[in-house]
Amino acid sequence: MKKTKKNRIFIIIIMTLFILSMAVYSSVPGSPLNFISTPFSFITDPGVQFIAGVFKNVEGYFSLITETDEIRKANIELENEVAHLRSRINELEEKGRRWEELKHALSIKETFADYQIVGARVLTREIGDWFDLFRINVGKRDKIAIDDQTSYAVVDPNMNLVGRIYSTDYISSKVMPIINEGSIVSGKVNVPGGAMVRIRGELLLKDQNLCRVDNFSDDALIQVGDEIVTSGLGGLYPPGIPVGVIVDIINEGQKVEHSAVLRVYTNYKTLNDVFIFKGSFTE
Amino acid sequence: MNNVIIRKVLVYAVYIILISIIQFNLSNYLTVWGVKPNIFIIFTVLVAFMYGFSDGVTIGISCGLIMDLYSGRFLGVGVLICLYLSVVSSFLLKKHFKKSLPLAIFHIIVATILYHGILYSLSLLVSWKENILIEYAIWVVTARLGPSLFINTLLFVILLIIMKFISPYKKNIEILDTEN
Repeated sequence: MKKTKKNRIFIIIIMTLFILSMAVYSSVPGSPLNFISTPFSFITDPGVQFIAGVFKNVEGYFSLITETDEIRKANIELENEVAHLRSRINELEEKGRRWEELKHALSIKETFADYQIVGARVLTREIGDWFDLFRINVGKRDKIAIDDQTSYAVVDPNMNLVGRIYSTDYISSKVMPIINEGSIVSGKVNVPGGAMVRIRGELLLKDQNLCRVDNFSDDALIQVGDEIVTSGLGGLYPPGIPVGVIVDIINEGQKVEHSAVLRVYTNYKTLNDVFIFKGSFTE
Repeated sequence: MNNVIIRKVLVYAVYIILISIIQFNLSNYLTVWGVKPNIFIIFTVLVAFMYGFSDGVTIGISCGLIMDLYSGRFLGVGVLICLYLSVVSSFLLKKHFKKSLPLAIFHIIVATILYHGILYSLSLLVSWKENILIEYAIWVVTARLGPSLFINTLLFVILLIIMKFISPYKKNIEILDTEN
C-alpha cells in the first residue's frame, strides 16, 4: 500500500518535471513540439469541419424559420405587394453585403501588393481565458511557418487586424488575437503625423473586445473616436491595418500616466474566415 | 479482461471526441454570464472521482493535451492542471469512498476554485501591473468564478448522470484502482 503511494508520488513528480520542460521548450517560437498536433489535426480537422458545417446549416435553417415567421407576420399587416418588395430588398441587402466583403478582400491586394494574401477558415475557437487561441486551417503545408524571427499578421475579411500566427503544425495554425493579454502591437493614430502608441491586450478588458493603448507622449493628440492603425514598427504587422477606435481616455492619478481604451473592430465571436499577410514589410 | 479494456478505451474515446466537438465548436451556446465552461476539466474531475487514480490521470493528461494543442499558449499548462486536478480528485475518492451527490458537487466546487486559482495566477504573471491585484481578484471572483461554479456544477451533474448509464465499466466489474 505504502509502496503504491510512493510510486504514485514519484510518477507525479517525474511527470511534472517532464511537462514543465516541455512547456518551456514549446514556448520557443517555431518549436518542433508544436508539430505534435499534426496527427491530431489530420484525424480531427475533417470531422470538425464537417460538424461545424452541419451546425452552421442547422443554425441557418432555424434562422430561416424565424425569418419566414417574421415575413408571415408582416404579410398579415401589409399588402402582398409590400411584402414582396421587402423580401426583394432583403435579398439585395444580402447581395450588397457580399459585394462589400469581396470589395474589401480585393482592396487588400491593392493596398498591400508586396504581400501574398492567404485565406483561411477558423477551425476551433477559444475555450476560455488562457486557452484563448483559435485554430485555422493553414499550416506549414501552405508555406506558413514561423520561427523566433518570423510570424504573420492575420486580418478579417474587412481588413481589420485580428492578431498574429502563434504556432503552426503541418496543416493548421494557432492565432493569437490582439485582445489576448500576451499581445503587443505598435500602432499610430490614423491621421497624417499621428501619435505613435502601444496597443496591448488586457485580461480585464478582453471580454468587451477592448485593448489598452499606452506609451504615448503627454502632448500626443489622442481623442475619443480616433482610429488606430498598425504603425509597421517591428516588422511583424504591415503599416496601415485598421485596429480599432479609441473609446476612452484615462489619466491615472498624480503621475498623469496616460492611457486609453480601444474598441477592436474585429468581432471574434462571429469570425469564420481570416486572411494571412505572407511576406515582409520593407520601408 | 481484454474486452474490459477495449470497452473502457472505446467509451472514453467517444466521450473525449464528443466533448472536444462541444467544447471547441459549440461552447458559445453554453456561455453563462460571459463565461464558457471547461468541459475537459469537468470530465477529468468526474472520471478521477468516479474511477480513481489511473483512469483520472490518463484522462486528465489526454484532455489537458487536447486543450494545449488546440487553444493553449504553451504545451503543458493544460496537462499539468488536469493532472493535478485528477490527483486531487482521486485522493478525495480514496479518503471518502462514498460517491454521494453532495460530495460530488462539493468536489467540482473545489476543482473549479483550484482551476481558477492556477489559471488566473498564470494570467496575472503574464500581464503584471502595479496596483492591479485587488481589482483583479475581485474581477476573478465575481466575473469568472461565480458563473463558472454555476455552469460547471450543472454540467458536472449532467455528465455524472450520463456516466452512470454509459459507463466505461460494466456494472458487475470492480474498479481495482479505487481500492488502493
